[in-house]
Amino acid sequence: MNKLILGRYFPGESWLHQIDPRAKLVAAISFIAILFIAVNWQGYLLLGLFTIFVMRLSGISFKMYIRGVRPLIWLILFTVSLQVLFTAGGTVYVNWGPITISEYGLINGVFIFCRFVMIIFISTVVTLTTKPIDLTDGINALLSPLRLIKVPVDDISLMLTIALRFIPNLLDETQKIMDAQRARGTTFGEGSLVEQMKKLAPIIMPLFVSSLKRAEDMADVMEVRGYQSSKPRSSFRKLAWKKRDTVAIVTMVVLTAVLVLLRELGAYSIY
Amino acid sequence: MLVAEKTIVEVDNLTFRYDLRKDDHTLSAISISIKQGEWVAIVGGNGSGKSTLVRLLAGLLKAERGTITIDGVRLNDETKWDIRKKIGLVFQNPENQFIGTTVQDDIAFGLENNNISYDEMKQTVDEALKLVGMDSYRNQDPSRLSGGQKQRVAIAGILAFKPNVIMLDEALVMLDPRSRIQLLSTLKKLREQNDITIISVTHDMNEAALADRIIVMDNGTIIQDGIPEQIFINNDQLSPPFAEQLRRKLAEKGSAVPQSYMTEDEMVDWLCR
Repeated sequence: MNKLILGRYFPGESWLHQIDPRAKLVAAISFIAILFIAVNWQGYLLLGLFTIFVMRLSGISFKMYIRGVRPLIWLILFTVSLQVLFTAGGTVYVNWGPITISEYGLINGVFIFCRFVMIIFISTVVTLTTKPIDLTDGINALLSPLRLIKVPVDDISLMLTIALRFIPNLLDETQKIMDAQRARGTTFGEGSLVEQMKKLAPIIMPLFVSSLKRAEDMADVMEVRGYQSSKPRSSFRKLAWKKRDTVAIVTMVVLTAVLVLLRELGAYSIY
Repeated sequence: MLVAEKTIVEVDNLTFRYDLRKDDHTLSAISISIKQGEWVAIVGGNGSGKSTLVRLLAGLLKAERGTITIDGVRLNDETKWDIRKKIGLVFQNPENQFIGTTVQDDIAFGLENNNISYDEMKQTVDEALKLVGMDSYRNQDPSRLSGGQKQRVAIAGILAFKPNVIMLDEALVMLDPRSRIQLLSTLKKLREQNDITIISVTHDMNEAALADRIIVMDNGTIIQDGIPEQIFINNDQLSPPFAEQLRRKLAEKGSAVPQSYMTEDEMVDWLCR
């Protein structure tokens, strides 16, 4: 469990930590979008430098980010090798039936690798520097126009909030159930894959049962405390847009403009 | 002296069963009247219907027959949302009733549901936090709080509505003895200062002994209703509170203890005479 970095929050006071979650989300999403504008090495260099700059700004060590990429490395390598092996064009180095290793394939492979890593780094920056609850508020605010077409935005964000609130409890409970099963003689992490999977059943079943019971309790609590999904609710948590949030958005606009410029000037220099 | 004459909770001929196909009533024709400012303990074995009764009072269940009137308003589907501002319910499990991600968010949850403006919410949350002595914990998340502190937050969430009645459904069961004592003294203080009625469902006779009045339930009916001293003298099934047990033991040993029921304070006074 401790290996998973993506989706964790790291308390801190950095400039990035203090950016409004709405600004952060918009910036991260637009960064991922403009990754596809870059088509030459100048563009990728710029984005790469920007990513490193943002990672420095978060005040969190690079090691953490590398750990965030590690669980996904096989997926990345798989996609990259597909690109390398099945893209044709330019000088052909190896040709073996349907498999071709060509100049374009290799370049594309490198670009896709960089793209993947940058997407993971930037989303890790967002989750590491934003409290889950602030992220939920940010998502709620960004989705709020959908209210016009009757999407239950508030319900969705309340669901997210409650889910986040109960993750530690579920982890505790899983630990307790595992201990209880251990006390009854189960050993985890031994035997064949099938055996190990069978051992999960006595953990998952009690976990389900207790989660359902918990959900029932919570529904009662929410009802006596006056929760009605059809009624408008006010919000105690307030998001405040500050100057630095505008700065963040403007930075993204500038970055996009420079990328477009590089694309035109560079004129596919490498292709 | 504390008990005013105003009736706050009026239950008349209340009947309830969970399964309408069976003739198995969880509550049969219960009538109770509770006055503003009273502290009432409801005791009884498992399945006696005491938890069902508080759930009916909070409007979580619907009665088959009979009426519930709270502060002059009859409880039904239209009035239940307003009545819930007057009558709060604290549940047994502290963990499952903490909805917010921090203490102040949790207290605000009920206010948000009622679409209260931000400024008013801020003020109300501050006041409620002070009433239960949790104002220094306002930004803490629930994982850093003890069970007793979580129950305090739950009570603050109710107090934010300036309620007439707080009901506790075995709310002290999962707490350690010290938290239990602290919470009980908070409740006592609240009752004295804010004239709040307390209805507590409990198994703990020491807790019940603190009440002004004890209602004993069995099999869906009320079998006894009176002040603690009557209840503990006349009931062999309930194990009496510690002070009373001590008095009986002393009497058995031939000590010259008074023959009537004694509260803990009376017992201490008698012992230290």
